Amino acid sequence: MTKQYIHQFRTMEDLREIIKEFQGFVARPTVGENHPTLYDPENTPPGEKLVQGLRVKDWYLSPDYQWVLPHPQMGLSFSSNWQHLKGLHKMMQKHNPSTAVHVYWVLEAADIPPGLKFVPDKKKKGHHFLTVTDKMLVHQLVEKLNWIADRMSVIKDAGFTL
Amino acid sequence: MIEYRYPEEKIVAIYFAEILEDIKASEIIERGYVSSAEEATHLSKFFWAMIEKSAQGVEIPCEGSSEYWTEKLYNTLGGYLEEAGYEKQWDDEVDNA
Repeated sequence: MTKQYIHQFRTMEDLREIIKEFQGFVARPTVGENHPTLYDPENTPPGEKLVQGLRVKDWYLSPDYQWVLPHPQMGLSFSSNWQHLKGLHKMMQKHNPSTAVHVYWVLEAADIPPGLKFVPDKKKKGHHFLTVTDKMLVHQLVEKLNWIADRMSVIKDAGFTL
Repeated sequence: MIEYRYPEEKIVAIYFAEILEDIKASEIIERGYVSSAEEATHLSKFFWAMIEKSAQGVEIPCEGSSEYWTEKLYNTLGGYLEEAGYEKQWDDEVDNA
């Protein structure tokens, strides 16, 4: 099991100071108690189509939504530099003003399950996709995303809770 | 040129420009590029005005949520401005948001 480091931040400056220690990070701001790699229909804005916790537009899915197909520029979004993370965190905080937005992260070079790979977005600095490299069933991807989530570390937004 | 991954992104951006009554943003989005640093700043400010409006709850004219599509536009518009040489203008407005 990967050792997880628990940190807290109150301000964006705190967050910057913490995250800069982790060279090669990929991170996802996550609202409240939401899952860091999967989506819960109850906590997802209306209109977003989900399949087993995946946002269908994030992935290259077969028409029957049973399979996830490889695509080099589709997958789960991660921030890979401070500037991108800061902007995304601000966006999520504005959309969810009364809820803490925590930051889950893992090293890009960390071991991840076979069939998945972190790939830089060709069009945006500081943005990575967690892509699928091998065709797999949706439930297999969900298992792999749960595996990654279990190994992600979290920097908790303490501004709302302390 | 601004290259959208999904056509809905442009639909949503134009929709927000209309409800924000931002004629210059509409022109830039329809034209598909900025022609000056001033326009780059305008597009960057428009992006954050869009987020403020989206956060109030806006029904959009396509499938998906405004939160989802503005997240896509964050990468599309930011990536375009970086590529066009206006990274500073984009980053300044991220800092100001």
